[in-house]
Amino acid sequence: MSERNVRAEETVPEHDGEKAAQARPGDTTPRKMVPGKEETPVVVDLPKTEREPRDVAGEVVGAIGAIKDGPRVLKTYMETCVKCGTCATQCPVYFGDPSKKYNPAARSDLIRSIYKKHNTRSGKLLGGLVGARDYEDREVEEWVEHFYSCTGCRRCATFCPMGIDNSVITRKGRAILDKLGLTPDTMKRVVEISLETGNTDGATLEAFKAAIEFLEEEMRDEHGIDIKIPVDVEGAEYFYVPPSGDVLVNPEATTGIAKVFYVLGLQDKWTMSSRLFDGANYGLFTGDDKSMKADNEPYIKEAKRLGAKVLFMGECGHAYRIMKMMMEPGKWWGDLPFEIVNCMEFTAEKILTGELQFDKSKNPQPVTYHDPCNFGRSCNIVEEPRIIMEASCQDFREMYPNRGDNWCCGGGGGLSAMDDIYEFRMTITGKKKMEQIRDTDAKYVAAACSNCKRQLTQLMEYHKEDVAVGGVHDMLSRSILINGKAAERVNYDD
Amino acid sequence: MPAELNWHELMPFTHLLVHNLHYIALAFMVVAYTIKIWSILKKPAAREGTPAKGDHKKAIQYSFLLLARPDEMESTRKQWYRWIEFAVFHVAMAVGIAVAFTMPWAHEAMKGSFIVYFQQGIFGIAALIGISRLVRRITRADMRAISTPDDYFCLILLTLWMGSGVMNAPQTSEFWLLSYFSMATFFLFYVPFSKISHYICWPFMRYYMGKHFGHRGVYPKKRIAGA
Ligand code: SF4
Ligand code: SF4
Repeated sequence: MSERNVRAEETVPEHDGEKAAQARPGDTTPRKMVPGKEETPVVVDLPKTEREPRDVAGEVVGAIGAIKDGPRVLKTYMETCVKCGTCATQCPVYFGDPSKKYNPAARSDLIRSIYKKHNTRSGKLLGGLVGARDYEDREVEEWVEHFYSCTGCRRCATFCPMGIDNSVITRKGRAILDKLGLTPDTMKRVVEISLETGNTDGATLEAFKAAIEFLEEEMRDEHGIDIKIPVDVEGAEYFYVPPSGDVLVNPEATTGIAKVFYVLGLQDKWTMSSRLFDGANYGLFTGDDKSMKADNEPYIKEAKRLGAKVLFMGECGHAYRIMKMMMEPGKWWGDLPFEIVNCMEFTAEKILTGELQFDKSKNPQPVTYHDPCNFGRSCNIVEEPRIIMEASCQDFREMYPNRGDNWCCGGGGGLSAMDDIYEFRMTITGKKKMEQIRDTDAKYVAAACSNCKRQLTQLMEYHKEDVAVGGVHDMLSRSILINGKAAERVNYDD
Repeated sequence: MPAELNWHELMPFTHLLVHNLHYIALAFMVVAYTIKIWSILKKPAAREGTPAKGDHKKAIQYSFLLLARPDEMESTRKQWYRWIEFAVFHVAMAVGIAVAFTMPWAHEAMKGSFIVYFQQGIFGIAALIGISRLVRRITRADMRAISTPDDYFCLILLTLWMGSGVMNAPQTSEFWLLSYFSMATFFLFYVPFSKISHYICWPFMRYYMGKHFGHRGVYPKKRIAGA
């Protein structure tokens, strides 16, 4: 297996977003839940074909067997789990509901046990004694619930004494489901919409332009000057790719970015693309590498077309991770004529060099920061958001544990987009995060991820907590000094 | 004064077991492990081509040494006794194997009271830990949920082995010698097929984890005040 594949199999991340009848990244209204009614478990039927019935068992066993010839690390995950139970104690889902189906090792065993049966001497010889078993008819239909209840946060991996990353096994499970056509509709739809329209919201060019005009007007109201958000400017040095939610739903992050460029005198040196303004990429969540790459390629072409020197990624953990940790080192599209930088790295550096100044009194409320798992455990962007928050807020407080040890918001791995599991997310996967936030007494939670923002906003509404949720550059946008003055607006609720 | 075991008048089977069989078992285990290591090594190792966000060499060391640093992990920081259990149990296993391969030719030297007490102490504590681990595995739903028959089987056998180690240490009875060595021999044959072989994969996995998370700056974990 090539290095590229090794990396693509590497892990499961998170994100959100959705369109049409489904949820959108920043849109916190659950669409499918019927109040007062119990949720239907995510169990789906295998797609029927008019041709010969599929050999599902053969496909599943074959896909699992392929692990044997794949990367070393996944093979060792298949052969070694000492069943110590540590992962369960560190998992946000299991914390919310300690049932067997949410136990990380038990979930991974769905695949591991079949692997053992067909691919290890001990499994062939001793069968059930060593936890090996054969595929059971139609069991894959239940896998949907199992593999779509792991947020892919990787918290368990950093604690496992063996070093098993259960999120990698989850992604493998999702990849098998995807091949069988069993990816939940919500997720499938987001992938399709993104491939069709270039963004997970399915937003039109008109919608995008209207949003940009609106944001420019807002900034004019706030500062009394024209701060532009350049669009489709060829030759611009920085090509800004946010999650679409940061343009359409929670756009303060984008005004924050615009203000940073303005203050630095780089107003004419950056651009967005009217066709491609959403780094979110759900192929990562569904385990469908082909779609992930198909979704990714247009951005690379666009960056080249624009002649950008920097692909300037927004506040979206999985988008940055795909670009920086998978696409670039994996050389999916060969050598790149630009570098990939995250906006928080850029801004934090400018704060440290004293090029950006703030009026912290504009953000007097207690503020905390939630580390999105992709930034915290896969990209190590953990100090940068804190530099920004501490510079722009009067009362920044940590939640514990944090950084690489943070607890997932409960919406990772694409779960936040799945409204058919809204109750599950509110009461189980998000339970630990809710506790953490309450412990801080913060009135604002920042998260550098549209997915987390959606989950956290819903959590606050569901649990009737008077806590606002937003991004990191949102706080910056409210307090950054432009010509010596911060924004005049004080009410950010509307 | 308890009777002393006469090593020159062992039953034929005990003699075969102590002097031949368990070496054959050892050879079998070595071959099985060699095959396992070879099968792991022939697979492509995932290379980290990502931009270095941390020092992966330090992180690899950290990843290996985490085992000996209960203060570094949130899980063991809060449950020190679990870590002590883990450490004593694993050290006792190593001592158990060492005893099985030294006693047949160094039995006279091993009759010294310090060596006997040392064996009895460590094997005894390990047996108690084995019982407590077994009770935990049986009584806790989360542990039951992930346990295979092999998990129980290994734990029961290891606990019994440790118990027999306590009894065998003073070398007073052929019965305990037979028990201790037959279990040791059985393990050598069985281990390559059971979860006990996890220590063969462990270095590969910890190395990868250290390299991966180190490269991404997650390992070594940062200690944050208040955490
Ligand atoms: S922490 Fe690791 S070894 Fe322990 S049960 Fe979980 S996956 Fe298995
Ligand atoms: S990746 Fe996160 S949600 Fe999934 S099993 Fe591990 S800790 Fe639980």
